[in-house]
Amino acid sequence: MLDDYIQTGVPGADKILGEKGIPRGHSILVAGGPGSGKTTFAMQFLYKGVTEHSEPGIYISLDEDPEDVKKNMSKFGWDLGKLEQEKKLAFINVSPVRVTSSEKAGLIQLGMKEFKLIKLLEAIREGIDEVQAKRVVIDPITIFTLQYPDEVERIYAMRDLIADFRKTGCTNLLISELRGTGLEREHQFEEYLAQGVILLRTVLKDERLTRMFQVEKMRGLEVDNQPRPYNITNTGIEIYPTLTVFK
Amino acid sequence: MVSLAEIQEPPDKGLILLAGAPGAGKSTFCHQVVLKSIAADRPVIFITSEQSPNEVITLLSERGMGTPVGLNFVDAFTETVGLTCPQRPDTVCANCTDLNSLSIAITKLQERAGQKGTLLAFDSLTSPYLFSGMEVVKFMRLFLSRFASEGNSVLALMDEGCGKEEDLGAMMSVADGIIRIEIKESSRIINVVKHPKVEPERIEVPIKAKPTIKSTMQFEPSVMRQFMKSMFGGGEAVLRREVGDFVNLFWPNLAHWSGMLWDPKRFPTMIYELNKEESSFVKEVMPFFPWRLKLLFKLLSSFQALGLMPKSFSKVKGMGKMSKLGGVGIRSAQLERSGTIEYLEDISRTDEHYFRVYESSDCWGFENVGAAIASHLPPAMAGQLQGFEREEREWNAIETKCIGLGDPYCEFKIVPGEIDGLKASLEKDSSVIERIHERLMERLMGFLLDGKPLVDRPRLGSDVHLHVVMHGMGFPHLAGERHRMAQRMGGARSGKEIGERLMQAGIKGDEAINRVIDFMNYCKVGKVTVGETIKIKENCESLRTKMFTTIKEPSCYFTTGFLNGLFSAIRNKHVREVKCVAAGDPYCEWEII
Repeated sequence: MLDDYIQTGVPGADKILGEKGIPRGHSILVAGGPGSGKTTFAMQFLYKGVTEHSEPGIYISLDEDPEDVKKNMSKFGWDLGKLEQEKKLAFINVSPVRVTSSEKAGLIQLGMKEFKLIKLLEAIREGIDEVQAKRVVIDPITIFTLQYPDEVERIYAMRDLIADFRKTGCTNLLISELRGTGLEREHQFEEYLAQGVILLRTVLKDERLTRMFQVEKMRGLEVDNQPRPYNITNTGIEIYPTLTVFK
Repeated sequence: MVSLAEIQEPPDKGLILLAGAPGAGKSTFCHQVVLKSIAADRPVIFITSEQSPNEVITLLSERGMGTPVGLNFVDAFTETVGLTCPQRPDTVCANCTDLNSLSIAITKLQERAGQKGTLLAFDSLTSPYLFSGMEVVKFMRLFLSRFASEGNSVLALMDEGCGKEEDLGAMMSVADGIIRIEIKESSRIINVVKHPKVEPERIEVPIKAKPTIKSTMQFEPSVMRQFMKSMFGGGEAVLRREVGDFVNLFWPNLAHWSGMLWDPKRFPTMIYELNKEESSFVKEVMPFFPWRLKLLFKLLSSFQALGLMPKSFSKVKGMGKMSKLGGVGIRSAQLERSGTIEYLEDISRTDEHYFRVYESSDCWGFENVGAAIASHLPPAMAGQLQGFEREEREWNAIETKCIGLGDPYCEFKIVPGEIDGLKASLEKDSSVIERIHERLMERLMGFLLDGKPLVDRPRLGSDVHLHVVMHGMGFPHLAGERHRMAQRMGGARSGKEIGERLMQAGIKGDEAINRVIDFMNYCKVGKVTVGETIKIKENCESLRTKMFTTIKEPSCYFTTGFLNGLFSAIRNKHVREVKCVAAGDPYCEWEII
């Protein structure tokens, strides 16, 4: 039974996830504002997956250069390059920003949508095959959805992506920018499509950042829906599942 | 009959609220409870929001702590006041402005200890309350009470009179036990209102005589000599050769009322006592007087001995003579420009003297704020009378008329012995403090935005001597941590507010910083420059410490707080004092972090 869930590797998170973890094969949206630790959360999920649960993973970057991500994550003591050499972790760069020639750098290429989706799916499949991945992260999914200005097309593309994931049996984190950092916010359409939604919220009060971790939705699981405080420490993200958030 | 020792034995579980006015002895009580727990091998988590763990360890050691094993700290002080929290194995840092950081820090320490039965001592809830208000009650209910119910005990301290009465009521209703401490005459009364272990009880403990600052005061002879020359010389810049020995009155006013803003209950009485005692050191500072003045005093005391001059100031005639000669501080008040003082012979009686002050530096610009507000001259004169009198009786002074009450000038009554209602007169309503604060802010914004003058005194002018600055700020290094906290945190509030108001007016970033730095230079706070760091040459605040003590550490409490507040509002940065004239450096310097 335990095998039906996969542990996040983030201290405190699995306790909130009904003491179990994320249902295997689900696509989970991880949404957070700038600096909320979305990438750290995702990387911790992959790193601990390899080191603690022997589950290889792939990291698909749509924005940042994977080399930068690796370098950034070394401050938590995670040697990602080593895991990559050992073929336990794969980094795939499909950034639409970075594949353009230098004079176009910084612009997002629109058009050729099918190609983009197909290209992304191919990359995912290749990556999964290469390392026998069980965990996948797409960071950030926002860039992908931006390729589809039309909402209906966007929803279809997203649905296709999630359906394709389903077939692979991998558990996925789709990283997304959270629009509006406060408590009031608009729901994004990705939230309806994903099987689970995790929010990393930040609220600014008197120049101090209060960080809140909240599982908004997790299909097929009794979870604690309350916001709980978390910190980014020098060993990664730490969530305090028994504490209340104070304003 | 329950003994004090039994009350100080913390119960196995439960949340005890220890309430009392500032200075009633809550921290002392708390330290005793902590020591008892340490002695009983019980793990202790000590949350300090009023001082650093190091200072608490010093205090506990003085009470005979030894080397404790299970004592851990949540340092909620250092970061809150804008300093960098040092890494210590027994300490987790938190910030009073963020209740989450407190609950996380406590949880971490408890996990590390891995056992129940901890005593959690929280000294005090006042600081988080001042930042978060009623959210603290939620914190008590959802975190502290729960922590206590898991087999630990919590002792939380809270100042009475620092917030709304109903908030304290709410805190009490959340607690499992309530102990109130108050001071009456020469006793400390410990009132056990409710307690999970003992019956309600009232215990009276006599208090030992209050310690004075005399023992801690140490004059730096060379600076003291310069100071006297500066006060009584011909107005030449002696102490601060570059910026001069006078400061715009606005700066000490701002420092004083910032302190009041932070600690309205205790700050005014602390200032009064300090100003009185410092002024009574007439004989002690005599050796540093310029020779002319020394001669005059020699002459006066021989006249006193011969009976040509009064030995005491009981009689109106004696006081009149002394006043005409400019003694008892009348001449020095004129020189330092803290006011023009006149002795009111007609209404004075034996042992009840009245003085009138024109253009008092404490009160000018605060017309009709609803209270008598002088803080410097009345206690300073009372102190000087004590110092000059042969028998050294203790004198006290209270304001009877004040610009702050709508009078055109200020008057005060000065008598030997106690004055009824003095304490009440010194303490100010929060509405009065807010009003004064608002006036200061308005005047400052008028200066910063439209170049209007800060101070407008027709005869004495805008500036006062460094001595007045010292009395306005008080002597925090002598008064202790509480006073330093008031200066630092009050300064931070004022600095932050100025930054915010400037930003609201559309002035941001470097422009906003530069305007405030220009203001400080205009006030002659010192010679202020900002680059990678902030430097102040001849900062008026550091000279005070250098002159009166042998303290050799950064001690620009108000300046640091003020800059910290300013930089946090405008640049989201903090400052840390790394060099100080008081510590022997050639100038004061702050890192911007």
